[in-house]
Amino acid sequence: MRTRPTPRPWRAASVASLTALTVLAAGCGSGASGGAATQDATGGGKPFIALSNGFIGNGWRQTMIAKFEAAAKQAQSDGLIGKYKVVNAPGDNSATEQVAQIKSLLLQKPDALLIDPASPTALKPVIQQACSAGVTVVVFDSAIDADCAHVLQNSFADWATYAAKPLLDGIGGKGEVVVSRGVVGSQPEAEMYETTKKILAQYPGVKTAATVTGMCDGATAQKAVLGVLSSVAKIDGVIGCGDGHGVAQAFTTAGKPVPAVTFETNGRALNYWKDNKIDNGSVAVMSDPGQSVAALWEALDLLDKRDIPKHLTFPIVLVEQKDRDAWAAVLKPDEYAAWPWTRELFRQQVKAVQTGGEPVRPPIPAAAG
Amino acid sequence: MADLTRAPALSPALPTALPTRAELRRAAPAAVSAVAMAVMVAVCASLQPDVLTVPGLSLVLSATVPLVIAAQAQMTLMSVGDIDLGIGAFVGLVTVIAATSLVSSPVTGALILLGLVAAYTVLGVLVHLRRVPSLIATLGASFVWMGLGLSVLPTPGGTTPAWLAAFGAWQPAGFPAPLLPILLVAALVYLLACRSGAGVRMRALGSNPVALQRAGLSPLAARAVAYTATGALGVLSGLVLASQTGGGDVSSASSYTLMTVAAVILGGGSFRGGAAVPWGVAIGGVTLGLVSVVLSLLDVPTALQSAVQGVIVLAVLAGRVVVGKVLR
Repeated sequence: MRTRPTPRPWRAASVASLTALTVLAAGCGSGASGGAATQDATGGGKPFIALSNGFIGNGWRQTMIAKFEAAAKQAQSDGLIGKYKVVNAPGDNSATEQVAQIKSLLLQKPDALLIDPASPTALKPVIQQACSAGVTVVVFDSAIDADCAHVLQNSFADWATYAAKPLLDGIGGKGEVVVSRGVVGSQPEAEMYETTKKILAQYPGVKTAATVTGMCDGATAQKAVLGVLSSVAKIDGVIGCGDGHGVAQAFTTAGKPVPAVTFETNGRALNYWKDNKIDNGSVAVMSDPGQSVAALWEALDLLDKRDIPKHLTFPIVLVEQKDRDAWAAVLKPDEYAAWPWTRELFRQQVKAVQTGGEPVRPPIPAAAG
Repeated sequence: MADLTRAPALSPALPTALPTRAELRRAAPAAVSAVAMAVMVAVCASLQPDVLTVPGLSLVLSATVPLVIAAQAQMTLMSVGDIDLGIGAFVGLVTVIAATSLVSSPVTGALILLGLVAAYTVLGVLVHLRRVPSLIATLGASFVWMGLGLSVLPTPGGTTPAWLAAFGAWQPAGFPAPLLPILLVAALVYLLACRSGAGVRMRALGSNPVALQRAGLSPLAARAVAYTATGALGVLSGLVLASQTGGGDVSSASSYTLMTVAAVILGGGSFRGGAAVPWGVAIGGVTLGLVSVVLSLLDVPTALQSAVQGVIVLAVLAGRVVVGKVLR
């Protein structure tokens, strides 16, 4: 073994402290350069709203966060909130990561915590912890089994209904359809598939030629549909959950005419639909990324001690052919259509939920003309 | 808090007299991690003074507990010169059992968990007798754990037994609750790996298996003991994780597989085997867990977080290498 003549422990110590400094510098440097999410509190006593998002890896979630940040910034300059903070869990929809992040958020003592959960169950204990720390918790986009949290979500049954009904009417209530299922095994998918089957039963003229698993994802649906195309003669429609762009491309690849499909509500799919002049009863339907904004208003109203039901169902985003061009004109390729919730509209919708009235129809973009 | 965990880290290597060069060298990596940990706690505390209160420390530390225990499991295997690529899936499988069988019939659940520990023993025996590289054997096993977990609980869910949930929610007034399992498990592993005959044989197997054989001792037994201890620690880690998430999810701990290796290396372990560093691993695991808390408090954008996390880990590792060179 090699040994050196003189021991130099001081060097070890200095290197160790140097490393520590590097660590510190690395942390601080990036903090200073990129810390855009938090704005410092200006008014004392104004609420601090935090949002924890379980997954940031798709356009829908990115739209959701962008809408929230825009609304929160506006609310801040209007003096409604003191400051806001958004944290997105890194990784692939990992509940464990999100639990850790919510814990470090709680350290910062937010007044209200909005959560788009990575898992319907795993966040229960940490939500309980937040509630007992006196934080108002609003969970949106997904139901969660925690008594102390308020839940705001879209109806999955509505989603499946809007995906199937206009399409089936569009093809004249007869013909052959393919059903492209979502993430099989998840609870929302089970509910959506039940609804789809119920609706198909109301159209005796429509036969289900095949059922595939498209995972609500264009690329997966494209492969899945391509796999069955060779074995069926003529398809009039594909009932899916926002995977129409991929499905349409599968038909184009196979050299067949594009049937009625359910498109994504993002700019790319809507423009594809528009540019290819597809006119066969196709619709675009997905849940609303603007839920994050509605959740913000809900949190503020809860902090004002207004009476709001524990569970709120908000309308889904349905883009029919007549509204398509208006949406397509304003959306970026990866931006999803979102309802522009204002505090006023939010309160109208809460009233509609309380009285069981018609859901509010927020305005579609003004570029309609 | 830093001083609390730092002192025991050095103590095994710090005898009554001045430390020798070899002892310094052994303690140095853990000391580097300890410095990094102290700096992170200081940064957290300067941004958010509440971090230094008992509830604050509990919040910060609680998420790291299952990782630290899983890292102890990884360390035990790495001390015999093997690497466990299945620990993440194994911990996930334990959460699944904890959320299903352990609730419906505690006896069956406990038996299944014992069976899982026994499966690890068998795995160790197989690795030894068939001379399969542990990397391949444990990777293969990870798919078995994953498949078993998925077949028991296809989608995340279930509830944990009341006693486990109570443990997760336990908030004593005097000290941060997560510190207890971290220190307790490190002490247990220390007793097994550094202070017992079995531990000496495990480390001998890692550093020089031929010498172990010549001494008339069974390398097979040493490996079997190491794998059994790893399985038991994996079960413990899974139970703690389930107590925090309140349910089972077979993929909830998949990131642990490589995080635990990083924690062991940060704590002074090595891929060559022969080293058992339970206190260092506790520090390394907590350091890794703290990185994300620091980044969150510093408002580092999410897109950059993984990258910054990696850079910090690399910086600590570089510090470890440099210190090792200087002390050689």
